[in-house]
Amino acid sequence: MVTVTADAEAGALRARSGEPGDVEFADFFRAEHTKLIRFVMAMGAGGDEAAEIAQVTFVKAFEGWDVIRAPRAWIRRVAVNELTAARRVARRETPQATLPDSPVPVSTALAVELTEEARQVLAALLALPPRQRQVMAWVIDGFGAAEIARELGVSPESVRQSHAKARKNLSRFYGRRTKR
Amino acid sequence: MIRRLRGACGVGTSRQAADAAVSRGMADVLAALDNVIDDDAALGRISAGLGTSVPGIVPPLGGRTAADRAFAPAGLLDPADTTARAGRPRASRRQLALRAAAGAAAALTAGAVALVAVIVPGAGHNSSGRSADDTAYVVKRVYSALSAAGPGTVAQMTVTTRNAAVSGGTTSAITAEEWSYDDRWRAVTYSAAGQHLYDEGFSTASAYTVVSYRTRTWARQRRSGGPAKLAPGPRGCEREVAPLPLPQPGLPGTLSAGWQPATVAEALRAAVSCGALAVAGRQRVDAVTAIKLTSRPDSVISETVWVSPGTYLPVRVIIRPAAGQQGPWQTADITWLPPTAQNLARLTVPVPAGFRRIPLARATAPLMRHIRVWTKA
Repeated sequence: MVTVTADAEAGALRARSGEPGDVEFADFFRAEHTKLIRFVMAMGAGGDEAAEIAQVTFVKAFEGWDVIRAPRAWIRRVAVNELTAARRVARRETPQATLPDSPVPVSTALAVELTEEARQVLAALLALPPRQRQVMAWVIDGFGAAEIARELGVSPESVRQSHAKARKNLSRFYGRRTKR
Repeated sequence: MIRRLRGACGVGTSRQAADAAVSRGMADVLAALDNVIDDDAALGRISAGLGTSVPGIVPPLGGRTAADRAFAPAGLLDPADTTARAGRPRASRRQLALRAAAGAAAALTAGAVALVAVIVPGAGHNSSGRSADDTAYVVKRVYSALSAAGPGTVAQMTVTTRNAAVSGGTTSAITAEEWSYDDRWRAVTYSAAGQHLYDEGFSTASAYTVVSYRTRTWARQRRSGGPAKLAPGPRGCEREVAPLPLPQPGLPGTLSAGWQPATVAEALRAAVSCGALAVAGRQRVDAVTAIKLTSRPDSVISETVWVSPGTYLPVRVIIRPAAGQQGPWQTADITWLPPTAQNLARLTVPVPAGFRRIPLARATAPLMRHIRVWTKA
């Protein structure tokens, strides 16, 4: 099971009571900015696109900071919506329940920084069907089935099934890489 | 059906192994993003865009160049953003890089590594097939690292010069151990046989000291004036610069401009910014998978620089004559040391007991005759 243990700062942020000033927006931004970019990249976006979406998302988060209760989930939900909207505009497609595929090369800077293992995992996620990739992105960021189900508007069982299929496909992906 | 059977038979990697690979890969993605994205700069742009202030941030500095703007969209690191990082715990790796850059400038300045600024106008070459954009990014990072100034790290270099002409023939190799910190530096030179030849350096009081182990003499003299500098900026791209002076003992106040700290760093910065170097892949340098930068194939001097992927500071530099040319080869291995008392002590030139003090001109004249390296490729 792929789980990314929530670190101390994320845990502290999750514990935010909602009282204004409990957690400075700037601290939250620093803790989650690159993680959100990674989350959007895991959804299939390129580095530049993911960074732009993260920026738009955090602008919205700042504007509604005082009323956002679960900011980690909130920014991811908004980022997914932004990505969906961006793809919709780019492709002139009708709204879809899940994110369509759109392989985008990572940015120039990341092209230099990314290790081979990082490139592989992004390629592996990109090869997944959209729903499985979406679930994996949430799982990688440490969210549980119930939380993911709530955010995606599906049942926890559906999330678990998508996760299981994603793991199966990922093991095949890595198996093919190994055989080469 | 076949696909199902393969799955049922467990073809491929186990799910646990795939899980582990995904975890490692995504951790690498995050590390890469941390290395590329400057959160404070991005936060500053959000703040500026909203026309309001966000508590707890330092707004980005102005003065962007075209190159800066090219990397601006997500808060990608750029020189203007580096100041805003100060005091931020998470940026410790970047700060280390910037502090180390100060040492790099001083180290390169120390004169040992004759970093050759073979500057040819135009875009970087692409002999390795790597994207020119990769080169632009790496060059920008190297430039930023080298542009940072200030004390912080003791740079240590081992410079080996091969095929250098000395009085009475050609030596196979001369090795110099060099240390630099801020505007202080020291170089200890050894012959090919490992014989201690001489020791020289500038102290904090700008006093130049040279000790000759051959003649068992030493000299010291204060140097007047600050380090000379090359004209900075794009003007450097308008010319093709000859190799900078190779290490030679010099006279205080008469040292070649190429020896001065700011000058060598400036020359390297000019070289990278003018497209004289291009990314040629990655290679292992000791324990680091360093980014390799090479000079143009048609350059007068062949130069290869390996930079750390974390700090973008040079970890090894090799300079050799172009094909068909004669001249010395130089290899410089660079390491970065914390400014502990022990490391700072390496910047002091010790004068052994029993050595006789003589006027500086008398001390340096034999040295100048002793080591005469080729300065023309």
